[in-house]
Amino acid sequence: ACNNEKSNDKAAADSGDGYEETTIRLAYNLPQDHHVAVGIEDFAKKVIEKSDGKVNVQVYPAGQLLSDKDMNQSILSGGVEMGVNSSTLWSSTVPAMGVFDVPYIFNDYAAVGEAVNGEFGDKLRGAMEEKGAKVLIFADYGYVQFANNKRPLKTPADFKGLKIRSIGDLPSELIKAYGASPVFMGGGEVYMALQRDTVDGATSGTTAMLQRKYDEVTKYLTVNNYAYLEFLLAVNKDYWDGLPKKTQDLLTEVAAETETWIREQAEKEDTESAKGLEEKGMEVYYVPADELDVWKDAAAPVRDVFVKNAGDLGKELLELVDKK
Amino acid sequence: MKKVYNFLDLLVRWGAYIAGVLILITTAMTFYEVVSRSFFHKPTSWATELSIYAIIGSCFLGSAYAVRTYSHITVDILINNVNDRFKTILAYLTNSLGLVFSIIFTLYSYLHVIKTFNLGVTSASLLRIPMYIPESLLVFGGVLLCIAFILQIIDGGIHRGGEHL
Amino acid sequence: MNLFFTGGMGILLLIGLPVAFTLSLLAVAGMYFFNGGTFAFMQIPIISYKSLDDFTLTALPMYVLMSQVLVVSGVGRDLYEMASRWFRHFPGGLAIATLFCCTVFSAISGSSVATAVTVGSVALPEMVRRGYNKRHVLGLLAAGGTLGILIPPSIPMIIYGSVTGESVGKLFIAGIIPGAILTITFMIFSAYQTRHIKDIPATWGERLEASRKAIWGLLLPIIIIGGIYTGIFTPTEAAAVGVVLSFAIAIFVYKNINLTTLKEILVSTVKTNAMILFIIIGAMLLGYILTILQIPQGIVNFATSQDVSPWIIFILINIVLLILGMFLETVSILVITLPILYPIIIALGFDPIWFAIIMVINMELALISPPVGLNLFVLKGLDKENTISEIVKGVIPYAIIMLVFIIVLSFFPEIATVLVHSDIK
Ligand code: NA
Ligand code: NA
Repeated sequence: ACNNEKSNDKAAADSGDGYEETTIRLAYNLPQDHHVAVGIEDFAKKVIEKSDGKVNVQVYPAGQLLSDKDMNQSILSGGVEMGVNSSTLWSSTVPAMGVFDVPYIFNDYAAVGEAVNGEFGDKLRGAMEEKGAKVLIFADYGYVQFANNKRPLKTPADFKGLKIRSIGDLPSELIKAYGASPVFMGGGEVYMALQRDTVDGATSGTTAMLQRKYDEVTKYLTVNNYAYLEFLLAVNKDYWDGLPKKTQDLLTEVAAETETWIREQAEKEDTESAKGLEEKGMEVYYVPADELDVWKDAAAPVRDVFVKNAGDLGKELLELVDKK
Repeated sequence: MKKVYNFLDLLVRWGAYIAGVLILITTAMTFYEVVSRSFFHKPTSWATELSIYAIIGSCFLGSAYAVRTYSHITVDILINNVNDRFKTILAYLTNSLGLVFSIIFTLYSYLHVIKTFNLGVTSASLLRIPMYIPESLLVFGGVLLCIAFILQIIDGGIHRGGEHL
Repeated sequence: MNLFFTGGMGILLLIGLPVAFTLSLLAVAGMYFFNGGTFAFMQIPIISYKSLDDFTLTALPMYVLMSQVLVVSGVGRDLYEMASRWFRHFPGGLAIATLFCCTVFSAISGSSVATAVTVGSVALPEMVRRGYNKRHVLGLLAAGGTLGILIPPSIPMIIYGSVTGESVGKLFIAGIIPGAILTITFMIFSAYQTRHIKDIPATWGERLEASRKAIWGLLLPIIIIGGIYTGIFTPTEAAAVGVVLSFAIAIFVYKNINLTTLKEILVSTVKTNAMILFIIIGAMLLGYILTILQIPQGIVNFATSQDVSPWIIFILINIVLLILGMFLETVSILVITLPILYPIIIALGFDPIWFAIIMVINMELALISPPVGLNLFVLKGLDKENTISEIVKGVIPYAIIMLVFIIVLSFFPEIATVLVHSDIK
């Protein structure tokens, strides 16, 4: 099971199908049964199949090789050829990636697909390539919501005084904008912190809440779709540029199929997991569409922080999505 | 020459003092976070993140002193059963190997910090700390480790195993 | 290639290169020879930094600091004296007292190393002074320390939960009964092993006097456990509260901490801290290159792909964990193997909560199995007279007890699952 060949070995093509042999090491840090992970595993399988095993995608799942914190640097320095990481973490290297954390810019799943496949996506791809990573897939994790133990959050004013576990800068700015306080702690401590009221609430996608069994330790879920969690399958730019056109085409083609599948899945999973949490006893409040403007207005300071971080490119991205 | 030796030795020792203060600061920050969050409902945005940097610093800045004081755990089955001449050879050998690692570690940490600086990577948090700052603790620690192993080689003498405290 | 790593490790350790640098250098050599030459060296700083980039890890140096304060101030000694006056008239009474302290401390900390450091620094000199065989004491402390990860809170359980999605709260609860059984078994064995030492019973007056003296020390675990279970602070933050309280007790009650002793405390904390953390870095670097080369995955896949009954596969899994446990550090083993093992365990129809407990006991074994066993190193660090081989000899009977306990748990999984599957909300 252990292979001796070096990853960058590109033996001359010797078979009829014409793919050069290469090994792509692909790492991701999501649980294997998450729909993004399932899509990525499928991507790897298809690439291997279609290239008759010449393009060997070696997957390191669920944080086996890299955590979300060292993923970006490992991709950029060629430690792995490909990796999956959240746009939130990429925003520490490419500030414009924070755009997905700007509240309420995408009203539905189709809007995300349209944006990332158009000028909006091109601008982000360009910004990533400048730093040395090429985006192959915008993998939709889905919308993020708030769960808490104090009260149903029916308006932004209900956030006042709550302590909410947060990750990343923009979600934390939103929590502050709504009058709550962001709390920072290790991921493994959140469950117990919710159980023991060390924090009042947390923010995450409902798929993750169900998987992490938030229903056991939190009472209220507010579905306001305030931001969209995007994961990126990125490939080291130098490695990509060294690949033959045929291999690049194959990867791009399979990536496009995978991206569509993941997007459809995200919508399904979001709906089902919110229902699942409700069935397991959480009280779920769906913010009505006509009240979203109140939530959006209260979140205005977050936009300013994003623009401050991401500069002109950030402004352009927001203008592009606002047009819709 | 003696002056240089003493200065370097002092440098290693100061690394340890700073490491100790960093552990104290971590304690103070974490305690402050608990009090501020639980009793005054004001969680901080900095305690968790800065604590991590401080602990990273405490390890890298303290490691060289641990080398100088034989605090790094060593398997001593062979060392305990050979004569002093052989022990001396082993001491030179292991200190040189330690130096080889430390040089590679320092060099590539330096290259990494430069790369982080050029990419402009910040922490993914409210603080948005430029990551080259905490990462340069690796370079400082690496330099101290190189110094410690060089001083060990200069000292010569027999391998003293993994004595401690 | 496997020979390169095992042989290389053997040689480097034997010639006396410290464990931390053996692991690191071996990882560097592995990168150079099998992973694209110096190109792969760019990963060294990335992995080294990531190894320590974890808030839960900040608890470790603070627990080391706390144990130093307890020792220097005499709080630890008074606490231990109390336990000994209550238990010393039993055969092997101090062994029981020590394990009692291990249990208390395990309920405070999520780390075995922290438990071994804190209890060991007080109990080791005391037990040896009272005539206990040093090998027995070292074995007892190394094994007793490992209870830190079985009795909740537990860092490996948190990792298990975050990789697999199992509820950490349920995992903690599952650890309670196995933790209690293992503690009591350890107590019985250690008392039997040291049964020839039996002090005259302390009078009730002496017991109460010692208890009164130890009251400040006793307050410490009560506040910490209370604080964790009422949610005032997290298990990680508990370490900081512990340090602050022990400093407060040392300064205001015992009045024996001054700038000189503070400096000594800090310097020895730094040494122990750097030693442990650098071993973690070395183990992570080695874990990285082994994972890239698919070596652990290959071994696990081999063990689990055999076409035999689920129980044979279960036994093979345990053997693999035992072998990995000899060479790698527990966090690395968990994150490397769980993505492979967890789906297999589910597919074979085993209870994942029960398997978590099996996994944690394997991690306990990893902490005390040479050549790379953090608890062995910690005890070695307590006293320069200690040798690893002495500690290993002392710990073997406890390792056997743990192996037997894995078998017992396999026949009676209810031991781990009964509390979980009853209504706990
Ligand atoms: Na524990
Ligand atoms: Na071990």
